[in-house]
Amino acid sequence: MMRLNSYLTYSAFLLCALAANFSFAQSAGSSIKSTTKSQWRFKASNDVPREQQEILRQDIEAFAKMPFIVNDETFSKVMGLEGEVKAKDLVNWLSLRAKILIGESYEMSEKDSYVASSGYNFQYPGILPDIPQPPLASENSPSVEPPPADSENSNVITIMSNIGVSLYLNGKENGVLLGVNMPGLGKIPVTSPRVGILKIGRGLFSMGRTKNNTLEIDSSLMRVATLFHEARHSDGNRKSAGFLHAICPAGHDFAGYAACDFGLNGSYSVGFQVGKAAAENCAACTVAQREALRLDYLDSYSRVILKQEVTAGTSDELDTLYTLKDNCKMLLSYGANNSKIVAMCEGLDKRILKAEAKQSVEAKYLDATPEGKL
Amino acid sequence: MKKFFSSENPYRDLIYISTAVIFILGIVLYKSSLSVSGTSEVEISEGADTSAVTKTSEVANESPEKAPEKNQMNLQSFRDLTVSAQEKLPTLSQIRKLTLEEVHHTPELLRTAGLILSQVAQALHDNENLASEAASFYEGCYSREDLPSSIRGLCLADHRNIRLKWGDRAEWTSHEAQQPAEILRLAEAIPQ
Repeated sequence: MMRLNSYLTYSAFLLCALAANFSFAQSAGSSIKSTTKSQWRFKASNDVPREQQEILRQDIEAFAKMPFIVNDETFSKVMGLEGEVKAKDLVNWLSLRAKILIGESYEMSEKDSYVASSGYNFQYPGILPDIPQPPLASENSPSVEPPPADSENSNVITIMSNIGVSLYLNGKENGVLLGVNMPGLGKIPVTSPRVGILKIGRGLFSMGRTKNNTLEIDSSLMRVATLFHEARHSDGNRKSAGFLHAICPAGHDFAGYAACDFGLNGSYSVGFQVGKAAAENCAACTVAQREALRLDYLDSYSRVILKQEVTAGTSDELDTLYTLKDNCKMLLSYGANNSKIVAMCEGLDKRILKAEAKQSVEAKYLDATPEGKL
Repeated sequence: MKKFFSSENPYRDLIYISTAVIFILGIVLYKSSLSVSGTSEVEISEGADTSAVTKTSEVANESPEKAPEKNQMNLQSFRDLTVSAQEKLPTLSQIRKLTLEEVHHTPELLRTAGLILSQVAQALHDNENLASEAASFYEGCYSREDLPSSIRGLCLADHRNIRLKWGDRAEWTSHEAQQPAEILRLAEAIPQ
């Protein structure tokens, strides 16, 4: 039997919740639940509590009714939409990318996932996003400390993660089509990140401070922005597939964490743009609520890295050159005196220096066209 | 009408006349009470016009003339709030102890900071006499290198917005402009 654990290279950069160890009571019934009242039609596995589904439905309904129109070039470019954008357009955008919700007890294990096909014909075979590498240290911040490891025993509460793209990419890397066993929905093969499977957890609803059973508008809009962030991970193709997060550079608040984007239309940009549009057009918000929302969207914006230093050569090229140099040292130490070998070894240092040379690169808009088949 | 003051029933006439007198007296008394209260309002607003408003914008934190209205925070309470806020705002060292999963979305520490800052913003909104004190708070906040960039960016934008509200037209003051480029970038994302 194929082991799923060996297929999970990409999980950390999409943050599939590793430390969540909570379980929910099963919701009554096992039929497919699909909302019909809101424009955002989602299915939910029956391990997603009904109250959570209802809160999200209300969040999106309230958001869809917001009367704002965004007419901003940057906003449109980030979202990939044209012209004036209304809240309803954004809900339609969401509907294409976030379609199925699964509870936080889901784990990427044999119990919850399965191999749907071992010889699947993926689109763009062999082309995968690069695994993010720690950015180079700068003069002001010479090193990047690795972040504390997620602990299986930690009390971290899941907020939300896009497990569809994680399964898709891990399957593609290994040439197998992976799927999810959805309680109440059955087996769903992940043939594209646009299958749109989001894992949601209690953390998403701890934002929902309630007063007299009324949802607080600021908490509601924070959840909406989080949904849009995760929905963006369903986009992209080849190198941009999944819009994987980058490791934040030295000197950044989250230096060393895979919690930044080095692209102008990634998940943090989407969260920022939608969060800002909602906050600044929220007529029902108090000054206090708007202030809390502003900090929320600024946090997302702070994760968008506009420029960073990279080496001229890729990490693969550098690894190859370092290996060659080691081999040269070994050969020369054994007394190899073939002129070609000597010449190649002598030229290696120059090639390494050239590949190690730092250059400043500005972030760009990535291709958001989705990959795979639906 | 013809029989209104008839002498058929002298008691009835007496009742009519006394009722009319009482009614007229009532109107006179009511009008005089209105004019008394109106005078008092004018006196207060005149006082505010000549001195209190000027003081409000310049040295409101020394002697606010107007008593706080309902739900408004007074100066001392606001000072206590800002001192407490500075102490409670999460630092970078706290942020860097979090795990990857905790920082993927806005960490709880920052959401709590949002609630702290929202109290300050609301208090200022409710009582503009606190503007000077609030500006000091925001300056202290955006200058702190131990705070996360998002907090500093928001404080910088709030500081700028107070200035703009009170007539200062400079995009950034020299002190504001000395902040790191990243803090300025974030502050610029907040509408004026």
